[in-house]
Amino acid sequence: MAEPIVQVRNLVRTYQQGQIEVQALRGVDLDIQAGEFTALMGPSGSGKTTLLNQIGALDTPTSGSVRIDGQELVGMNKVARSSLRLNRIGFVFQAYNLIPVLTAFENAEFVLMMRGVSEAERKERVMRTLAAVGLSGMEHRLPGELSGGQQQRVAVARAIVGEPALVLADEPTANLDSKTGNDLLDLMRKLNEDQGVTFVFATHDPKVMDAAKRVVTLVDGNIAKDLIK
Amino acid sequence: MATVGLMRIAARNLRKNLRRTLITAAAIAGGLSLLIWSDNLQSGSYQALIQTGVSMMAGHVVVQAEGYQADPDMHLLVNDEDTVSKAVHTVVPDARVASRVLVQGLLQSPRNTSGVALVGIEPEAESTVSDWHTKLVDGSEWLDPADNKGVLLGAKLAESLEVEVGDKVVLMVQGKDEVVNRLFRVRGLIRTGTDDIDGFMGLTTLEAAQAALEQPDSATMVTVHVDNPDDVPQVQAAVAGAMADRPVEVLPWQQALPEMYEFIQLDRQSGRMMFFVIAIIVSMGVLNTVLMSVMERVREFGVMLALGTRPGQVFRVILFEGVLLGFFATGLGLAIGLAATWPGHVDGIDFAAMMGEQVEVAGVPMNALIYPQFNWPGTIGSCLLAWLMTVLSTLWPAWHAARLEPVQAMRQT
Repeated sequence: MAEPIVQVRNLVRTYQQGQIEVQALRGVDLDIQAGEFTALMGPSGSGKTTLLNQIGALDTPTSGSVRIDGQELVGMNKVARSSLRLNRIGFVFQAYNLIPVLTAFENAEFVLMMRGVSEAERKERVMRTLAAVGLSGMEHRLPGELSGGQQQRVAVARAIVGEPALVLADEPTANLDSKTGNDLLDLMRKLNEDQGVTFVFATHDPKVMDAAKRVVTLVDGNIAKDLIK
Repeated sequence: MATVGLMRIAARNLRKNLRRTLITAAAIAGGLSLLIWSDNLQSGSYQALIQTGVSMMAGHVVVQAEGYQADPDMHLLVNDEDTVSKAVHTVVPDARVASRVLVQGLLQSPRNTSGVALVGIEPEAESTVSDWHTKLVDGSEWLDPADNKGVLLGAKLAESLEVEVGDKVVLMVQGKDEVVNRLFRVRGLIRTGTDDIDGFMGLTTLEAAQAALEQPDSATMVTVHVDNPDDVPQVQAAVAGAMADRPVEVLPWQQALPEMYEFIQLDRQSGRMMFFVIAIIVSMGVLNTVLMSVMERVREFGVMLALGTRPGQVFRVILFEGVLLGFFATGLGLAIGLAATWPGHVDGIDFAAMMGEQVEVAGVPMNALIYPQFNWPGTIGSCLLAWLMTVLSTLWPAWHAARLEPVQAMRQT
């Protein structure tokens, strides 16, 4: 079996909330293979988002190990973590989190631009990706001129345009109506099946759990169940 | 390439908050234009002061007897003034040259006595180098070169002597060997607005003054006047070269009129202090605005960091905003400052209502009508400083944004 794209070992994350110490993750072990379509589920406060942030190099663990594509995140400096996120990981956030002053095209283009990809290549890849997420003709619209579903599609386009090893999506359908959420989910599943993009979701949404090929259930900072369909 | 993307975000952010950008730019531009205008006004007043002071009290370059500047004894004279004058003309043919003799003595009228500083001048040459002839009171006439009995008195001096045009006065002075008494007839009165001059000075011909000192062909100073004050160092060097074998000192106006020069330097310094105070106040305003703008966009910066933008790149986005805002505001301030200077530069600004028709600055009479001059080095310096202060004002907000942790930043609403 190939080396997992995500390898988490004995991961602990403790927060200090005033006088109280909160153990968000209590020694999690998890492997995710390339091409997986995995949902992390669990009640609020179970540690889903914390785990996703650890895998996404957005936060540093209290102890344990996180390896992405073979690279150990623990001990990595800020710039190296930025570089890893830029080149290997795509993000889709619950609140879309597009850059408000950039158009749909420019938002999707942002990651490629930061990577230093040539203008011609950027244009070709962004147009192709926006078409893939069903946003042809809306390239020049600002986020404020797009619906919630369209904004989330731009966010997906931004996450996948750089062909990352891994896309992390935190509650991607939470702010969308049912139909829009389904459409988006179909889109991500198609990208997974057609292009082999690895997706890891943190979600409450039953539709996402239904669509996922693997569902990891977290309870009180531990993996309670790991179901591969 | 990433830089282009970062600049695009910076420019869009400025445009997105257009009203705030314009208000901030207006504050910077307002401060800058005020600085440019006041600097140009200051330059205009200095130029007028230098022009008047240099022309009436000295010259752009003066030739004096060696040691006169340190000990201005009226018997310490340049000999062969005519030869010296011609030698100066030879080396700087475009310059205007006029000799003067300064006599200090007592002036007596039938009713009163007063101390006087009588300046012997060459009336024709003098009227090409100074403004004395424009200071005559109505009913006065300019000196006739052949009239060695004619004298022009300061209006206040005439008042204290209780004499009028046409009256006689007697000058009593220590000549070379003995006390000399010379009779003069008042041909006119001079009013400059400066008490020291109007109450103490008189003008007569060069020959009459030389005779009073019993020192024919001598002068206290041979003054050299040029059209472009920037030429002074070259003119001084040329004249000094021509005078190398004579016991004289050749001084630029800055050394010949040290009090006036120091006054200008001091005034410039206080102007610069004012400049920095305004710059700091404006910078505080810019800092406040940029910091507020950063605080409003914490979530946006968090997203950028999460996507892999390096902290240094986030820093640059805000720095670019300062750079662009600085360019815009500086351009605007420059345009307003120059436009505000122009009418005064052409027609002059009359400060008579504030200061009276004539004012005295550092002992020099100055006209209340001041023509602001375009001081380009000062203007460029002001623009650079305004731009730099704007950019520097963004450093702390930029540093703050660069230190954000993406997860915490994205939680902000």
